[in-house]
Amino acid sequence: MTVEYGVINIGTVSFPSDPARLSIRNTVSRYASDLGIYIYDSSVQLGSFENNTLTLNDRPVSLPAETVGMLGSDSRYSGNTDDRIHVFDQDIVTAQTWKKLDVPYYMQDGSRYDIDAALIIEAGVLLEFNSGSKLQISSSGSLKAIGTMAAPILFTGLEKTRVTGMASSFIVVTALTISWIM
Amino acid sequence: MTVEYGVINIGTVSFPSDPARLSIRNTVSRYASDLGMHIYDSSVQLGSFENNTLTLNDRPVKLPAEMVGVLGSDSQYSGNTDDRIHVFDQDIVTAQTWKKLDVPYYMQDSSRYDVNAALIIDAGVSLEFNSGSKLQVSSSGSLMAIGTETDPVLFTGLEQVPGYWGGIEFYRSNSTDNQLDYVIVEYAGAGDPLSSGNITSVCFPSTPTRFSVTNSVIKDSFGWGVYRYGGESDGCYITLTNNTYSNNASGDF
Repeated sequence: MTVEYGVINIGTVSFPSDPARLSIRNTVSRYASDLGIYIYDSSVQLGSFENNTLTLNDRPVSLPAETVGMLGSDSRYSGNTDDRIHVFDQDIVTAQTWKKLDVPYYMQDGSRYDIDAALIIEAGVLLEFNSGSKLQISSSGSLKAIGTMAAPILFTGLEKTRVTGMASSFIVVTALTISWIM
Repeated sequence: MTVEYGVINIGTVSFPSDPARLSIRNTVSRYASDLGMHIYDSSVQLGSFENNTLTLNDRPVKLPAEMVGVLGSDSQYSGNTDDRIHVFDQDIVTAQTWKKLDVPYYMQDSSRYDVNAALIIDAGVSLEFNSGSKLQVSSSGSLMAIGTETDPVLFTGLEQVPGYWGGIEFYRSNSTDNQLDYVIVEYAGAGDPLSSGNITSVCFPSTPTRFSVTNSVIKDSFGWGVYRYGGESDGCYITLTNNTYSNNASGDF
């Protein structure tokens, strides 16, 4: 399937009491003036997301942190004006793996992203943090980020500045957390 | 992994009843406007800390005295604005070795750092003490600092002023591991110059104190170079051999 020339080509509206359910496979989403796909919140039940192409849009995807693990490396996310996965703040409460895609992740909200479940970040993943954001691993969460010498994992600020109070890529490991950072 | 441009790049919040556990290996932490890494307190369980690089931050690491032994010499801590390991006061209750890193340790708190377990300080280590701080080796602790002629262990004040810090005190510590060899102790002796020194002892017949200082330099004390609380009949078993003393206001020992 191909969807093109929308503002948001594929959008969802969903509530926990009334969730949206969909699967997207072998689909091209292109020429959106804003987003190729927009996942409204973590109540969206994305059954499968496979072999899609999100390109030539302004941005490929906007979705909550809790749903990021659905994005697979068998899809293409590059070739957009703003080539980043836009991740907004919603607590991670489901164990998941953030995969190495062909674009970086952008933690867009200036807030604390809570990790309340086991989060694995694959080698080679790049995460950019907006000003005022941080990643907090709570007592029920963990962070395992094992890179390699050739493909390290990068946690960085949107702006490359050391001015206090500006970009804050800040990993906080809290109580009962078991984390490996490598 | 690389973490960069945070205020504190890798931080911890931890409590004894609810500890944080983590391992950090092969990781670069850089461009932090404050700290490359902050260990909140000794309840943090740092499983391993290996081959990391903490550079281009304001400060590389801040951690409690009890955790200093986890820092290894296979990591880089230099190249920051303030190139020192910032050590805050929390009693040392676990036997450990403080290794020679590529930066000095800075005992930042103006308080008494209690050594209540076996502490070994490697040759070539440099410790800077803030005003009002001191190192006290208790009855359950010991201090072994064995330097070499070319790589002594340095205990000094943040500022080079006699009496700037309190010095090393062996307080009813009767361990044969209390050995200072090829060390330099300077600018201590804060307090009453008649009963203070760069190295001091507190001992009683029922709770003796034992230590040796050999091949060392003891200088610029506001009080004594070495203050001996008493003789062996008082429970003070102190060996001083082949040391160099200079500019100790109350005398050498």
